[in-house]
Parts: sequence; C-alpha cells; structure tokens
Amino acid sequence: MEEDILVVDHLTKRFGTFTAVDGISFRVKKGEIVGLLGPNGAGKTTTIAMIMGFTLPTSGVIEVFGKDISKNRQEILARTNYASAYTKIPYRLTVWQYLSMFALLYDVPNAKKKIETLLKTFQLPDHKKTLGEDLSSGNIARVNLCKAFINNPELILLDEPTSSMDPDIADQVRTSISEAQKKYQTTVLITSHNMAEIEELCDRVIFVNHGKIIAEDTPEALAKRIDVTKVKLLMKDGQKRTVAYCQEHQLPIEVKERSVTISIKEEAIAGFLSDLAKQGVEYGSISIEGPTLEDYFIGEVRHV
Amino acid sequence: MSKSLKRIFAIVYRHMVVWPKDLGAMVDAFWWPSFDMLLWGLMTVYIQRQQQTALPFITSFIIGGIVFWMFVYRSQQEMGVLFLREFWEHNLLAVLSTPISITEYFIATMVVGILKLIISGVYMSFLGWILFQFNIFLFGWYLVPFILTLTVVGLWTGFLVMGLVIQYGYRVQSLAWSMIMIIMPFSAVFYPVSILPGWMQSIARFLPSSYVFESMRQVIAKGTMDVNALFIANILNLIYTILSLLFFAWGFRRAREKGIIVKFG
Repeated sequence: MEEDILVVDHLTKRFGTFTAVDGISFRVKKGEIVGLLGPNGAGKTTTIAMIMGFTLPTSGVIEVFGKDISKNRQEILARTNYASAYTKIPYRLTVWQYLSMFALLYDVPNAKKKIETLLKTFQLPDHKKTLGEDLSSGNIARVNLCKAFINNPELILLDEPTSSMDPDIADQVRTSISEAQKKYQTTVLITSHNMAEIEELCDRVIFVNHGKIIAEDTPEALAKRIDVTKVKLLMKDGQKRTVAYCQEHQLPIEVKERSVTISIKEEAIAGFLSDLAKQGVEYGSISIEGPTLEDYFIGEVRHV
Repeated sequence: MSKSLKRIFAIVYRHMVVWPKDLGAMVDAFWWPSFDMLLWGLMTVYIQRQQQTALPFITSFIIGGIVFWMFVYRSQQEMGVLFLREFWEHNLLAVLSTPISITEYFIATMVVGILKLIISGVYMSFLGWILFQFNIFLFGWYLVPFILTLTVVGLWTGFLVMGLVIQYGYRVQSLAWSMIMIIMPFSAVFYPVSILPGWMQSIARFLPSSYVFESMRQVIAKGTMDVNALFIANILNLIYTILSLLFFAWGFRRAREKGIIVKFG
C-alpha cells in the first residue's frame, strides 16, 4: 500500500462569518502530483496556507509524513518546500545569494553543487549574478522553483506557479516542474485555475468550489463526466438548414460567419451528420472535439 | 555550525549583503545622523559662545544626546524596517515556509540590527570627535551600560512595531520610522527631566531612556553616575522586552488566524 504523504481531515477555515474552507478531507500519496483546482475564491490558497502553517485552521487536522503540522511544524517544513507566483525575489539579492540563503535555511549539504544543478535544471545558468529586480516574471518563477527543490523535499506545495505568465513561458515552466518532479521523486500538491496546466501535470485532480470538494478524480475521468462533444463545421452550403435542424432538435449551436459549432452527445454524432447529408448540407471541413477538463470546470462553476 | 545557527546566519547574510547596495538604508544610517549632528552641533556651539558661563557643558550634552539617541533610534528602526522589507519584497512567505522558528528569526533580526548599530555608532562617535571634539570615551566604562540600555529600548520598541506590522501590514509602516519619536520628548534626550511638566515627568519615570540621558549629563557635569538609575532603567527594559515579545507573539498568532500573513507576505 502506498504511503500517504499528506492527510487533510475535515479541514475548515472561517474568517468571521465567511467560510473559506468547509470541512474538506483528502489524501496525497507518495510520488503523486495532485491538482487543487477551482475558481478564484474557492479556498485553494487558504488550504495551502493552512498546510504550510501560514494560516491557522478553525478546525480539522493536517498530517504531513504522518505527523500533525500544528505540533511538528519545524520538522515537517525541513522536508517540505513551497513556491508561489506571489512570492518574489528580493530586489537587491542576486539569484545565487537568494538560493544560498535558502541552502543555509534548509542546511543543504554541498550547497554550491546543488544550486549549480538546479540552475541548469530550470534553465538559469546564466543568471547567477542577476539581481531580483532585473528578473523577468518567467525567471522569477524559475528561481522560485529552484528554491522549491533546493532541499530535495519529499512534498512540494505550488500555489499557482505559472499565474500571469505568457503561454510559452508557462509551458516551459510546466516542463521544468515535471522533469524535476521525476528526477527527485517528489510529491506535489499544486493549485491552479489553468486547466491545461492541471491536465498536463496532474495524476489526480481535487476540484473545489465555495470551500468544498466537488469532485476528485483523474483529469481524463473528470472531463468524461461531461458527455457532450463539440462538432465544428465550416459550411459550404445549407447553413440556414443546419441552424434550423439544431433548433428543431434543441441542440446548442454557435455560429461565427461560415463556422458553426454544435454541442451534441458523442453517440448522436453519426445520426446528426447523416441527417445533414440527407438535407443536402455541404461542409468544407469537420472537426470533433471531445470534452476537456475546462468544459468540466466551466460546467461545474456555472452549475454551482 | 548547528542547524539553528545556520538559519540565523542565513537571515543575517540576506540583510547584510544587500545593505551596502541600498541607498535608502545608507541615507538612514549615515546621512541623516550626520545632518543632525552638524545642525544641532553648530547651533549649540553658537549658543555656548553667546552664553559661555550659563551652560558650560551644553555642547557635550547635545552631542552626547545625539550620539546616544542614535542607538535608540537606529535599533528600533532597523527592527521595524528589516521586517517590513520582507513585506515590501514579498519574501515573508518564502522565509516562513522554511524550518526557521520565529525565535531564530528574531535573534537574526537583532543580530543584523546590532551589527549595523555598531557601524553607525563608530561612525557617529568619529564624526562627533572630528567636528566638535566630543570624545565619547570620556564616559569610560559607563559607555557600555549606556549603549546596551539604550539599544534594548530600541529593540523592544522595534518588537512593538513588528507586532503591529504583522497585523496591519503597510497601513502602519510609517511607525517603523516614527514610533520611537513618541517617547523622545519624554526621554529628556537634550534637557533634564526636571524641566518637563509634571505629567510628562510622570511618564518619563517609566521610560528607561530618561534614566540613561540623566546619567549621561551627570557623568559629563560631575564625573559620577547614579547606579540606581541604571538599575531601574534595566528593570523597566526587562519588563517592556517581555511585554513587547508577548505582544508580537499574540499579533503573530492573530495574523495567522486572520490569514494576514498570506495577504501581505
């Protein structure tokens, strides 16, 4: 049986009358990458803050490595690490000085070698002497990730690590996280509202909204809970007939110039296309998109 | 080196390495104290020349007051600003996510404050001697308890500021520079406690700094020192240090309960 690295049991956090986290329970096993997914204000960051001890829970228990965080914080933090898009690098510290500081804080053996290796892993070997104030947002995230792996942590908590990055940089950072996680066999709990990030990185997703866990599964299984597929047609002839058909059969349709997108159950696609052919509808191209985690996310958020 | 010492050293390293690169910190450490000394020093030299017999020690009183007050002001300011720096640079969460304990963090902050204070103190003493022939060593061994007592006044005031900053963040950041000024008029830095109005004298009796500045003037004028006064000052310091640390601990817990550390850190 795989070891539970993190156990969260009936965790609740209230700020006055507002309940940010409402009795959530979940477990993270050794070596897993688990995504804490949800819209803004769902309680993701508050949950991470309670696991790290930045915020005190109103009730509930958090156990990391089988130990209660409220009683063994220092011991647990020595084996854990954390990175957030919201923490910055001090303006006048160089990257090397910043990482050296954390090497001392975590008592890292052979710190110099370790920092060199991490700078290579996260593609920053030329930035040793760059000041915090001169780093781009992508490089700040990379330095934060170097810091997050500096003590070979058994558990890393990443709070929206690619937030506000452009897609290319975010993709590079995700690749770096994935490679480093494999290299160091680290357990990762990551919060995000970026679906692509969660789908790409996570073995399992915990979907939270209004402080409660709505669903917990693999990204693929969550996406499959949405049984609607999108059929996109680039029309040549018969656009009006297609719209009329969809309205008659109550199929949601979006029309943008010559392009129409119809939301339809997967098993009904063949019949739908056959009916269009019988009516003499002609289209230049067709694409069929299966449900994504984003469809699930939007569906759940709007539904709740 | 033990793990605990390494963690303390990490914070000391983080602050000391950026100090020479920070123009604002250099201005606070050297420019303003020099400016104060020059301004007040020249003014007192002028007054002394006008009324030579009335206040024979006025230059020493004022320069001594400036140099010694610097220990209170700078130690308080360093504590407040070092802590605020973690907020300004969004580094507090990163530091608190490590195994460093709050006690280790406090010790590190005090070490940084004291290191900077030693540098500023040597500089100010040298400046006083060069500009006004004020020899700080005229206090002999009394220097040690004077400086220590005043530094501790700055430290506990700094702990109070940190306790407020952790709860209210940027809203109270100006206290890092101004908090100590609240006690300055009652501390009788440049004048004797006896000239204060009655109600101010009552407050002065509860301030360790007022006993030190009275003693300083006594040493300059008579060459003797009231040991009892220093004893009272340090008993008060002990009480206020304990209370200010308890206040910080309470504020830190409250900040964790209210989720303030995540908001500002």
